[in-house]
Amino acid sequence: MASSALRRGRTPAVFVVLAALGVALVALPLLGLLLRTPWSRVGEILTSETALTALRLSLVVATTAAAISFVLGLPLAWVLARGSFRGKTFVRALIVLPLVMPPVVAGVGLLAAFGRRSGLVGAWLYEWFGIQLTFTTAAAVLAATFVSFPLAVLVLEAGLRGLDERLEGAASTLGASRWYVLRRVTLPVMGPQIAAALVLSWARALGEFGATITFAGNLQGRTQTLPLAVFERLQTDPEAAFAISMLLIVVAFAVILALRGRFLR
Amino acid sequence: MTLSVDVTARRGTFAVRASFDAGRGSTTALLGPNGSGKSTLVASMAGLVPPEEGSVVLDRVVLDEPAAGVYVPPERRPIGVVFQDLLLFPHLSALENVAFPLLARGVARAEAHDRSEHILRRLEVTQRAGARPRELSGGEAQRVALARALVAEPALLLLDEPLSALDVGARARLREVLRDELERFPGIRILITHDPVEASTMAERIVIVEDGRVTQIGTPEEIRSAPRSRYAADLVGVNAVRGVLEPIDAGTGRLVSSEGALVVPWPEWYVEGEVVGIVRPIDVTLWPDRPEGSARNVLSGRVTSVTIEGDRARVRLATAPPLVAEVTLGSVERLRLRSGVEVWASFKAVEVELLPP
Repeated sequence: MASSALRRGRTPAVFVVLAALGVALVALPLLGLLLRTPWSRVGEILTSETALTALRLSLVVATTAAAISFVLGLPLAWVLARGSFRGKTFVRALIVLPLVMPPVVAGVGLLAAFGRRSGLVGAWLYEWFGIQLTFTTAAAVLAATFVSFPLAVLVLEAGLRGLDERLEGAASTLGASRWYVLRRVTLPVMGPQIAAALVLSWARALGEFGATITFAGNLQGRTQTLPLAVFERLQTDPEAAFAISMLLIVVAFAVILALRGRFLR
Repeated sequence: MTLSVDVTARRGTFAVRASFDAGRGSTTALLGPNGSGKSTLVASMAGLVPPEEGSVVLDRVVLDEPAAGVYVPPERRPIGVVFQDLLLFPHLSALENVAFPLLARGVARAEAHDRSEHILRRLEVTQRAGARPRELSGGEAQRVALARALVAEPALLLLDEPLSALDVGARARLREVLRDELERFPGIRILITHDPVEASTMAERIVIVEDGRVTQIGTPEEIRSAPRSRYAADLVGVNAVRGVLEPIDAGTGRLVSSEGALVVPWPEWYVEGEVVGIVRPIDVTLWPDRPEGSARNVLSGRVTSVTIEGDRARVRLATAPPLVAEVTLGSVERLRLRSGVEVWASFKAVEVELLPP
């Protein structure tokens, strides 16, 4: 009976109830935020010195992370989409790992690699050049890049796979060097995927919390991005936390609108 | 100024082996059924699929010679290609598509646009210069692709099935345009097509490519009068059987092919090897039962198709070897000819014309 009901397109009552519960799961926290946001104080909170500093830092960190993800992600996506070498599957699995890894573990990993005292590279950087990454904006950028890089690579690789390679061949018969083909054909034709890669990795970087607080700390003006500011404010001034959260939701919403019809359907 | 191609090129598991020349100021057609390897040859001449063996020489410049380690990449070959699927750049306007080869070769933007506009005007698509490829009709897109291949004045023009994507009306109009452009183009023209009419109306020489091999090279007239393969014979509407000769008695022999044998007049010039026997469909007579009489070729088989052309019909027979017979509509009625019917076919030995391969 149930299967014939499904086939005819009538939705079983159980499904309606469970589906509604699913929607509620996502909608309730949003509704809660909407209701508890102190709308009269929003302007004042968001223009306060600490919020503005966190906002400015967040924009710098997310934009830099997205840019690095693109610059390093495109060649890697190229190699994964078109190269053939041993261990390609392994490399792809490795690259995807940060997507599913707990962010706090990512932070610990970053410490193990770039920490000043015992980091694999960090100790060496400090000893030879006096460079310390931990507790700097660079560390926040590194943490954000670590988690957003896989998104950029996956989207760019899908874009390269979807590209008609014969277009590049045609361009070369028209006298275009490989570099010219890349600049004038490959990248422009991949425009929508490049935009999607940038927007998605930017959004992921903007929301990064666990790896950042573990690896970069929570220093106002240096590593305290918006999510870290929300976390701190929650203990001292919950209303401010709600207001900043609202801002982040508006940004997330804008990202979905920007991707509509391009990457997401 | 000539193009000299003698290559083995491979795409996937399919290898094409071809050898032919083409001269300046004339059009050479590569004619063959779909999947015969014509496009692989184009890709090879364009430098997109480097040949495994042999050489491609254009105007005494070696473009490919794997044995000597010579390979000139596509962007440094003086070629213009119109691809079967056109491959216009979707993100560029028609004008920008045409200007692309000039800009890629370092021509200044203003000059590149001037020259592109000029050629688009000649091809009567200036009014669509600002349109993206997806906004163009089939005929317009084809003209833009032609303009893009011509604008940089290449020495070798490769046209891969330039009319096949068009509907009948657009094809007739564009055939004129193409003929004019080919005539004015001073370099070497290679036209790839599966359409014998296109090949014989546009090209001075035809290279027939079948199953990755060149089976015949000649003028359209030569191929019409003496086709050397079943495919070529089909094109000109006659039967061709390729095989070796065995003597029977004075003056006659047996032409043995992989698909069956025919009794043929023994040619005085024959020494050894393969020959092609041509049987004109009009010489094949059909019977409901085994015919009595002097005809030495008597074969039976099922009718596989009947095609009416005016007051005559072409009847395909699954005899050994397979044959096409041309009969009157009266015979079609009298013999109740349609697919599946068993019939007998006969023709005299002297009605088989033998040609050296």
